[in-house]
This record gives sequence, C-alpha cells and structure tokens, in this order.
Amino acid sequence: MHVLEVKNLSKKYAFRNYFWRKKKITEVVNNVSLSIDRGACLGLVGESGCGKTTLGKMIAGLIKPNHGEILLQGKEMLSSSKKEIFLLRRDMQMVFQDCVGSANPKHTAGRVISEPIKNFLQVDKEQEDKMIGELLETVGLNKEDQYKYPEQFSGGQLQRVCIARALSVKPKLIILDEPLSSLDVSVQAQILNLLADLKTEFKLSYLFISHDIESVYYLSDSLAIMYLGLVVEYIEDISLFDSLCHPYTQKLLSSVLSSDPWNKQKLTSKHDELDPTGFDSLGCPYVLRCPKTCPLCKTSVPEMKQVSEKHYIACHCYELN
Amino acid sequence: MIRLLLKQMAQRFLKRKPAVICLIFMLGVVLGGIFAPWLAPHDPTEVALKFKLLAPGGQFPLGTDDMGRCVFSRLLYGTRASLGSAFVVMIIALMIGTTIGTFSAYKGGHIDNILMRLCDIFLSFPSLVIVLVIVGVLGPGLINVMISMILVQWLWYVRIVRSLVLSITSRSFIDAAKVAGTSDRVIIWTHILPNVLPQLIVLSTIDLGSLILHFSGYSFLGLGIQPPTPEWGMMIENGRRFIRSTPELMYYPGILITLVVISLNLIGDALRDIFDGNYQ
Amino acid sequence: MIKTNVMEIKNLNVSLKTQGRDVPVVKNVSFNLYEGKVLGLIGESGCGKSATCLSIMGLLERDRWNVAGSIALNGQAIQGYNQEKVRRLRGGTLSMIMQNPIGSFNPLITLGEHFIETIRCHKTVSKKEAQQIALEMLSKINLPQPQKIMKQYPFQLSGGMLQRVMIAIALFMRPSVLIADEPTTSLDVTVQYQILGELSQLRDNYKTSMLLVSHDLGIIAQMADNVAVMYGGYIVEKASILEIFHNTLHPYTRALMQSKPSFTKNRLNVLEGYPPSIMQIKAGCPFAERCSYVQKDCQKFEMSDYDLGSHTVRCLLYASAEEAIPCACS
Repeated sequence: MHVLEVKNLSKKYAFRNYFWRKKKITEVVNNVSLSIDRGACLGLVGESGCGKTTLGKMIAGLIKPNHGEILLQGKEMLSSSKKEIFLLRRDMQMVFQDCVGSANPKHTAGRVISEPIKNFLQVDKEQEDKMIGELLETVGLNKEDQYKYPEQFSGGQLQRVCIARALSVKPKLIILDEPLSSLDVSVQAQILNLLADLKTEFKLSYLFISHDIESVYYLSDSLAIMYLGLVVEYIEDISLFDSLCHPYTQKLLSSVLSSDPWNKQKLTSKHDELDPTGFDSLGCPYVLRCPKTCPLCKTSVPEMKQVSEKHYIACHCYELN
Repeated sequence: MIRLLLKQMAQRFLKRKPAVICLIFMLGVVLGGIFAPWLAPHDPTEVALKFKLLAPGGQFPLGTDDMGRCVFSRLLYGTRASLGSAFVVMIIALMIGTTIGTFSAYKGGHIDNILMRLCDIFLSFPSLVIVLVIVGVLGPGLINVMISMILVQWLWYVRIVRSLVLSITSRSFIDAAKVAGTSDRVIIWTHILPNVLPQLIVLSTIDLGSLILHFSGYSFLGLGIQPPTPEWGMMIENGRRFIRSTPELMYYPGILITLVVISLNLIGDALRDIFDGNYQ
Repeated sequence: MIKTNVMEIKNLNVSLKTQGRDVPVVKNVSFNLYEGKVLGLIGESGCGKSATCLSIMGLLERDRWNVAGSIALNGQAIQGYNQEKVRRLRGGTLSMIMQNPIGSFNPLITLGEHFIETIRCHKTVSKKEAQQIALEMLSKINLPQPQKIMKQYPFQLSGGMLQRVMIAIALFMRPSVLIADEPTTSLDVTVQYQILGELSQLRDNYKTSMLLVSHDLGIIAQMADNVAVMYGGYIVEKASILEIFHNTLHPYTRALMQSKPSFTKNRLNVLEGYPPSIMQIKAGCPFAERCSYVQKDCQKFEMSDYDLGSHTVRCLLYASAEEAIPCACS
C-alpha cells in the first residue's frame, strides 16, 4: 500500500493587475498525481516558482488545494473531519528549507523538539526528556544541546534539530522541503547521509523537494520533474534515470555542471528563461522554451502518458522523437 | 536559562548610563505618586489664601499657588492622575489592540479586510476631533477623557500589532508548529505573542510618553480632570494666569512633564536595543 | 605561453574591529590573477571569501575593518589609495558582480539610468552618448529587446536577466580584473548555466582576468584555470585546475570533493563537524579538528604554505619537520 497517494491535486490563485481588469488565474499546481511507497523516497525536482513547495505544503495540510485528493495510508485527508486530520497528521511531518526560521527563537531546542510530542503523545515530563535526549543522539547531537537556543546552533545543527522534531512522533512520511539549500557544502553531505540512515532505520518515506538533481538522485527511489505546476516526467524507479526524455528534463540535466575539469561542458549564453508573464494557461507550459514543438502544444495541456513500465511523461511530441 | 537571559539583559541595560538614570528617575516619580499621602507635606486641595503665591522655602518646598496650595504636594498627587491614567489608557488600548490585531492578522481573508477598513475609517478623523466630540457628548471629566483616548488609541495598536504578527506568521516556525499539530490558540500564545511582545513593550513605553503629553494637553484645555484634583496639565493652565509675576508655577509641572517624557523615550530606546541584540 | 600578471595580492590580512579585539577574517592570503584566466576561489560560508573580494574592491569601511598587505593592479600598488582614487578604479579597471542581483540595483530608477550613471562616472560623455554605449553593451549580452530593458525597473526583470545586466555594466569599461562573488548562487540551474556561459564568453572576448568565488565545485571545475581553496581565512591549497582535481593534496579539498553527490547511490564520504566560526581563534591549523589526517602537531604549529612546484599547500603533511614554525599565539 502507498503511504501517500496524491490524485489530481490542483491549486489556482486568482489575482488581477488592476481593479477593473479581469482576474487572471494562475495554476500553481496543475493536476498532479503521485504516490510514495513505504520506506521509499520520491524526489521532486524543479526550478524556483514551479510549484514544488506549494505541492509540499498542500500535502502537509498548510495550504488548501482547489481540488484533488490526498490519501495518507489510504485515508482521504481533505474530506476528513478536523479530528481525523489531526490524527492523520501524526504520520506526516515536515522539514523546512529555512532552518533558522523554522525554530522559534524564543524556545530551546528541547522545547522545539517536544512540540509534536506534547500534541500527539501522552507522556509525562520524565519520559519526554528521555525521548528528547534519544532523538538528539539519533540525529547526531548531544543530550545537553536541548538547553540551547536556536541562535547558538550553526545552520547544519539547527537542521538536525528540525529533523529530530519531525522524527519525534515516529511519522510514516516526512516532507523535506529543500532541506539542504541553506547549508554549507560539507554539511549538506552530512545531512544527506543522516537522512539516508534514518530512512533505513525507521523505514521512513520521504517526499524530497529540491532543485538540486544530484542530491535528489542520491536519496530518491522515484523521481518527478515539475515545470510551472505540471509534473512533466515521472519515473517510479530511479534506475530508469538514464531514460528520462522530456525536453525540459534534458535541459535540466544538461545544466548540471560536472565537477570534472576534463569534461568541459560547452557553456552557452543564449537567453532562455522562464517568463511567467508570457505564459497563458492554454497549452503546454514549456512550449515557449521547448526546442521541439507541435501545433498541439499551444492548444492543450499534455496529459500524463505511460512510456514504459514505471515511466510517465507529459509531452505531446514524445512520439516524434 | 530564562534567568540567565534576564540577567544578560539587565547587564546590557545597566551599561547604558542615561537609560539607568531615567529609570531611577521614573521609579522615583512613580513611587512619589504612590506614596503621595505620606510624602506630601500638605493636603493638595487645602486652600489657604493667606499663603498664596509664596516663594519656595520653609514649609512649602516649591512654594504655593494662587490659592495657597502647596505646589510640591500637588505635583506629587498629580502623578496619580497624569501618569496613572495615561498608563491605564495605554494598557486597555494595548489589550484591545493586541487582541483584535492578532486575530485579524492570524485569520486573514475577509475578516482581516473588514477590520482593517473599519480602522481606516476611524483613523481618517483627527484624534483631537474625536476626543472633543466624545467629551462634548459625555461631558468633561477624567473617565470620559480616558474613554475617548482609549477609543482613539486602540486603532493604532491594531495596526501595529497586525503588521508585527504578519511578519511572524510568515516565518516557517509557524508552519512547523501547524504541522506538529499545535492548535491555533497555542500557536498564538506560545509562538506569536512572545515574539511580538518585546517590540510591543518598547513601543508602548515610548507611547506612554506621548499619552502623558496628550493627557496634560486635554487637561490644559479643561477637558480632563476637574479642579480641585491636581493634575500636571491643569497646573500649567492655572499657572498661565501668573506667567508675569510667578512663572515658576508653570515651570515645575512643565519641567516634570518634559523629564518624564524624555525618560520614557530613552528607556524605550534602551529596551529596543536590548531586545534586538543577540544573546552573545 | 607567457602569462601576463594583472593583479598581484600579497599577504592580504583583513580583520574586523570589534569591541576589545580584532577578529581576523582573512589571513595571509596571496594570489595572482593572469590575463584572460579565471581564478576560482572555493570555500564554505565564513571562510573569508567575500571579505577578500570586498577588500580588493576597497569596499570595506575603514573604521570597522583593518586591511593590511599589498594589492597591485597592473604593477601599481592600490592598497592604501585614498577613497577617491579607489572609487575611480572601481567600475573602471576593477569591476565586481555581486551575489544578489536584485539587491544590487536601486529599485527606484530604471536600468538605463543605472547604466548612464556608471558610464558618466568614468567617461565624460553626454547623456545621449552614454545611452548609445549602454545600448551597445546590452545588445552584447544576449538579452531580447535591449531598448525595452533600458526603460524597465529592476523588479520587472528576473534574477538571471538582472545578473546579465550587471555583467554588462561591470564590463563596459573593459576592466582588466572582474571579481564575481558567487554570481549564480541565487539563480536556477538552467539560468546559472547561461550566466556562466556569458562570463566565459566575455573572458574569451575581452581577455579579462577573473576572480570567481563559489562554493560549488561544478562551477569551478567548468570555469576556472587556477583554483584557490579557502578555509578558516587561509588559502589552504592553490594550484592549476587539473592539478587540483587530479592530484588533490589538502585533506579539506579532498573531503570537499568527496562530499558532493554526483549521480551515484554510493554512500557519501562525509566531512564531520562544521566550518569554524570567525570568532573562534585557535592555534595551528583551522581544519585540524575536522581533519582525518590530523597529527598531534597540527594544533600546535602555525602552518605555513609549502611550495611543491606546481602546487602550494598549507598542511603539515607536506612539510619536513624543520620547516614547521612554533606557533606564536599559543
């Protein structure tokens, strides 16, 4: 059974430039369907503004989607009662991008970690202290660190505290929203390894949201590529990585700089950027930047098609390749 | 840990000499007001025309006014009306403002919109006009001026608290708390208010000064407290008539008001620096 | 091929004046920039990369920072110039691209005005002529509709486009040295690719020598000709790009290379611990407490640079015992 299943999830924002103009509707997340198995990690890759954080927050229940379904362990979240949602929340925690902002500066690390414990578990003070100590040691910090304030930690240590908080109620799924992007390079590797260890130790599932495709590859078992609210390519098994073929995915992959000076890439300076104002929601969102387009691309949003087993792609021109 | 933090804050406050002097001065003024019955050499309302307009010295430390009342005693008792009522106005306005501002910012959407437009409507009238209208309807008097000042003041606090709360709710620890299953009530009490409080304390300290000024101003105009109860603004008004012969009657309350307002401003500034600083 | 030395920096020391004591941020940094070559400066946060750049540009406020050492540009010592002389250099022979393109523009004036302002600082031209030059520059950086961009405000452009405009402004005087302080950190990968393409193209066209600061090994590997690795305020290793990747000597550089995931599922070799805070001043090698090759002398002796021909490295592993100098501050 899937730990998390998302079906046709959409979020639209309507805003207008001027009071008298017609409202413009922007689909931040457009008909996204994904699933995550027990103990697996789904990597969600995309550039800034592609809706990946919105998707993560919708799954975590922080933003209400316009329509769609979110099934956590087979239970529908959106139509459940408040009480049921509260109980479901225990199985799903989140780690945020901005580790400094995600811990209350007025609370000690111990209090930060104990917040979900207080809400979900009925334990006495002594047991709670013991749990905090154990959690801190699990994430590679000391028991004594629980008396420190967020300011006294470095970024990497604070991210460890936040991971400890997410772990504290033994969730099934942790949503990792760019957990590495505010950290130093050497610390990023530490956190990646820690996440990999925790995943096997507690049989955790992750939704790993990131713009860094290399670290996503390291941690993930399946991978989804997002562009302007649309999942354009989705593989259920990371071993299919080499067969990724959506034009945007290829663009993304070719932009990754190899850290091998013998393998000099041909850097081009051609201007090719996402222009959110030039995009109308009729056709494929990538049509303006896409090197190969067909007439259909401008008139209809491509649907997810199965290419091979465990490999899905949303592109009209796939057959043309 | 909290104790250590307070100790560090106190240490940092003590490093600022002007603020410390101001704090001591303010404590003196407040204690003088509280213990006025024991400290004052005379009854502040006792009229004795034979002692009128005496120079300082002897049994009247700061002399007497036109009715022979002891100026020093009146200043001491006046603290109660001037400082005390300004303080009460501030506390009540702050409580109303914080409640509504926090609620409005946290709920957002239509509730927030409606509340803010209501505030805009009230704020578009000059505060003096509102006070004059309300006092005109209810009649002059301490309580009525206080009510009208609260009505004017709370709007500002709603505005300020709302923007402070908004800046906190955009931080990700609020999202983290929601994911951790914390209820809205607890989020407001443990995450939002403690982070807003330092700025509010600073703000209200500085505001208290301006409230005292306003209050004295209204008393000077005869809207506030009614004679013979002593109040600083009214004492200035009384002394105005003798500005040529005995200007001291205006100096004493005037200087006192100035010093109190300056002290409150300096203390507020010091508090701001302390709260803003790091723990290191 | 003879390398022309454009900028020479010797024993640069930068310290932050705080209450009580000076906190050294950059310690004894020396390097050269050659014509048409890129020196990559790698390091994590707080290692002194930005302070190095700003001190070269003369942008550190003199009442808060101490800058010592010699900086020579085209054979002329510029360290110790007065404010006015440094200002003339900036944007002229010495230019800089900042990390945060959005914060580097005044949001209230158009990009055209930014251009004209800079041009008229350095050349006595009329507004019209300046506009012409600006258009010319803009058309060279592969942006659509330079006419339109001149009239736009910074917030109307994306981060990547602004970074291109910043490059255009930085390059109009054909500077001999361009300092790029993490020019692509705030940009998306696809845009980063283009900006780096832009920079390498300009380097080839104008023979500008470049100091490229980054924490990303990929950028350095693709762009740089020489590399300097910074840690705790020191340059710990310095060599040509192939040398540094082929024959990595310093344990920190080695760890940094191993900790980058690059399309493998193999467990990453992790460097434990955290980069040191600039406030901590310890004797000996700043990397000693995280180093897996640490010896008992590492924390006792002040390191010095050991020259191994094509390679300079600041590590006791490569010193014979008599070269080590006992630490002065222990």
